[in-house]
Amino acid sequence: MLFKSLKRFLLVGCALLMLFSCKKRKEGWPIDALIPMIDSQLDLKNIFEDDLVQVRENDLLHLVYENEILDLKLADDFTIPDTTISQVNEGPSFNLAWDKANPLISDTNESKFNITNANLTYALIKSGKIKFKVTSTISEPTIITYNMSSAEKEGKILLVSRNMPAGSPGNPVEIIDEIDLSGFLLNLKGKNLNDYNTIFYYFTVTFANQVSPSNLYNYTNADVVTIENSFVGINPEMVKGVFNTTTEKPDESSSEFDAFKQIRSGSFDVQKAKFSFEFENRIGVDLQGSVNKLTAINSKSKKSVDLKGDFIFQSLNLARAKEDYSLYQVPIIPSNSSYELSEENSNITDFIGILPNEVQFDMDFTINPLGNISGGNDFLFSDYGIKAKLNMSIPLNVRANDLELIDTVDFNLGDPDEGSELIEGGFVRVHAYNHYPFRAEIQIYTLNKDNVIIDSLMEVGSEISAGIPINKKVLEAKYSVLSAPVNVNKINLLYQAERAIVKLKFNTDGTEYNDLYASYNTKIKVVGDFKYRLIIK
Amino acid sequence: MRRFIILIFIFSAGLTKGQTDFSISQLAISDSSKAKLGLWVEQSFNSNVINNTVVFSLARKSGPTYQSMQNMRSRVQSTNRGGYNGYERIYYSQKLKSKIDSVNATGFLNVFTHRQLSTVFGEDPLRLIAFGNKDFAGKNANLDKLDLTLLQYTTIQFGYTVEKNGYTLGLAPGLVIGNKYGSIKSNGGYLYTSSIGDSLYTEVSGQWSQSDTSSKLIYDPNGIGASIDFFFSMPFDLFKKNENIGNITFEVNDLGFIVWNKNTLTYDIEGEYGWGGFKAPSLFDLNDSLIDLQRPNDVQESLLNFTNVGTKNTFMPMRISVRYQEQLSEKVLLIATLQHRFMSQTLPFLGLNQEIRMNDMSKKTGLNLRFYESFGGYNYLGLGSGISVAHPKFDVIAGTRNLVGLFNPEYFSGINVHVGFQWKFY
Repeated sequence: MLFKSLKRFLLVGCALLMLFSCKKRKEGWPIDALIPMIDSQLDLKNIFEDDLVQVRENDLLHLVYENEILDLKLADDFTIPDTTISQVNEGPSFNLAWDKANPLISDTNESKFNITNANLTYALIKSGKIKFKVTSTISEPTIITYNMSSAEKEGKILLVSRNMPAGSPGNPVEIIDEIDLSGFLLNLKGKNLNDYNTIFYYFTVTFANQVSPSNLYNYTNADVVTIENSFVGINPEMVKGVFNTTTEKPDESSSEFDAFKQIRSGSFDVQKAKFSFEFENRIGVDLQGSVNKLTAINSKSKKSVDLKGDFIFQSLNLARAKEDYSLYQVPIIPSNSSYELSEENSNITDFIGILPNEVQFDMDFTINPLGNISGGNDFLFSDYGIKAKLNMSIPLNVRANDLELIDTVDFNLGDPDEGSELIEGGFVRVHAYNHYPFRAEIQIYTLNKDNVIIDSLMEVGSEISAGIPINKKVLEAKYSVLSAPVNVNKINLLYQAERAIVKLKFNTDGTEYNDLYASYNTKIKVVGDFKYRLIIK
Repeated sequence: MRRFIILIFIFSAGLTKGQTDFSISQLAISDSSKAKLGLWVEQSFNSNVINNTVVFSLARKSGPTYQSMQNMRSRVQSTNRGGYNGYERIYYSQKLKSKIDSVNATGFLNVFTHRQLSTVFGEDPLRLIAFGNKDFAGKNANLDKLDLTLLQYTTIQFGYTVEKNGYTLGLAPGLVIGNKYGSIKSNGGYLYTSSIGDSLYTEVSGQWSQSDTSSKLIYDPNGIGASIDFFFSMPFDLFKKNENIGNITFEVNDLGFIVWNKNTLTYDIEGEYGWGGFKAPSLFDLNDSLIDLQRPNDVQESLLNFTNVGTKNTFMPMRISVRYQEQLSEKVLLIATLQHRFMSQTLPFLGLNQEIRMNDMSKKTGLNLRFYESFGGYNYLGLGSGISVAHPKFDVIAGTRNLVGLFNPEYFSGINVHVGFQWKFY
């Protein structure tokens, strides 16, 4: 025992050399230690997402948010429906000695797809297939051939041949097969290139052996060849033609607006705000849009504000997109249109002042409102349609009213033997140097595994003091110190905690709006002011 | 001469701070016995600042309370000392035949283990270690006065003494087995704590040595050495002049060296380290991976400049002493010892011992009360008491030199327990 005591004494001096190294033993002695814990900042990036805050002219901060509220694709309106075409080729009503050098059947088939909203001249197929079934009673082996010259892929037309064994009227032979149409460009102009929505192909039946057992075949009315063609699951990547004048209304009518998602309650008043309603048209048609209603919703506070102004019910003409196959990947030059909203032509500051988390809208679009003025060059790529964005730019000249920021973080103090068990009491001091002209009340709640709050860490009323503007700008950070008491009971509760809720409540003193500058920050230095059991390694 | 010795005692009492020790002059046989076999065990701790409660708590592994540590505050000085000494000793003395009747010769075998932990702290290092860095917020804690040594060795000693007409000369060479060694010396440095405690910065310089760290048992041999003890004693009466009932002994102990084995570690400490907490661009970015990345695991690398493994030679903590003993009356014996032990971070020590016989002188067995007063060593003042029994066939002695620290351990220092027993053979 005494020798162990000696050993401890021997190592006393290491404290000077090893600072706060500690060994997991229950001896040592309590000291008053100041331990640097965290050197960090608390700033607007904690309220808004990093990329939402941008520096603009005069070092002023702007809250910039781009929110896509609509992505309308019209491909479903121009799909090619599943279509089945059957054709029966019967032999002559009297017997013929058929020269086998000639095709037994050679026929052209032309079919029209039932497409209601457009007269299509071309379709580039993303996926889909032709399923065919051929039944034959011809008593000699034959070769059947599909020739779809209106379908082309990589410079080659669609040409398919299959061998068909000999059949008989009592025992017809049957071939079932399918052809993948992916990547084929279908010309839908028909055989004479003056039609639309029309596909055509050639079908021939020739003898496999034209000289054996004879060069003649006894062709009778018992020789029947039946062809059944089905176009299944044709899903175009691109269609082209003339799109009829129709009105489209988006299925969705609301969009998440997450610029303020970390703010749980309270509000901040802004003096100015600029919104732009941007449309991007990637369809080769003229569009006429109309925003009939735009409502900001804060589902937590149950508040809503309808946007008012000239913009509502105004006819918005969106020019057609253009094709340019010199472009990489997607040969579309979109057409963009923008409509500006400000506090001068709308109630946009009220609209944003409720800190919406959702935007509801009612809008529609009319395709080719003036009819066919493109000469059949309307086009649509299935993955691209009309996008509507609600872009926000708010100069941060604000006033905070009990503005609450709440964030939940996973909390893991580690094992009790990692050093913190040596803290016997004291305080965690938060030293804050704040430039922002609003004060911030801080509280941290710890939660157990059942998400039940088990403790609050900061002393009640802990508040970071507001920076004091001189000529509307805070030049010197305001210092304040906040304390969180630490004792054995609190430490035990900390070990039970699995999550923590950090709650910040911002308030502006007075009624003035305050500009926020990029140079502003709140430096936070967290220091342990502990009664700490020092154990020397 | 008498005035000179009195002056020395007075002067030493003003300076010194400590404890007493065993003397090999006691191994000489001066009575009619032919041999004696003895045991001696003594454990001591003393300090001018570390109170007994703190020592007891550390020894019990329960840890001292915050208040116990704070009780030391008023005792902190510019130089602070603490030391532990422990002895276990067994010896055998045999009277030897002499060609000259008037000469008494004694041979003896003396085997003992001495373990010592001694330290001296400047004010800042002590305040920093004992009370923490909060006292130093906004300033430097200077680390330039810190010296700490742990030493344990076992000595096997063969000795010889001769006595004629009250003059005694003794010599005892010994084989020394080094058991444990450790040393920390600071050459300077400081720890800066910022005013709010948000940053620490230290620069240190020094050495740290440690004997074979793989050795676990306390008596493991980790070094070898040699030593010699010698003394000279002569009649001297301070109070009853020329009655030849007193003597004075000049003694040197542990004059020697130890060579610690090739597994001895020596660290050269030279470096700097700063710590300002875990840094994160935002308070909410402080996550586990960022903390793991910045965890200060490199403190040791930053401060240890050089590590050497190999033999190391050290001198032993030599002790010199002057011991005066005189029978002041039939029942009162006065012993005064002035001693100093080098390389022990101690100051000279003056120990006074009065032995008062409690029973009648006609009794064969003497029962004695012993009173101790000490000045210096590792502390200022020690008061103690004990008993001794002197029988023709054996002697027993037990006591403590520090009673004050036992009765008020929160505010005073000093622990001493000693027990001795010896058989006499005729």
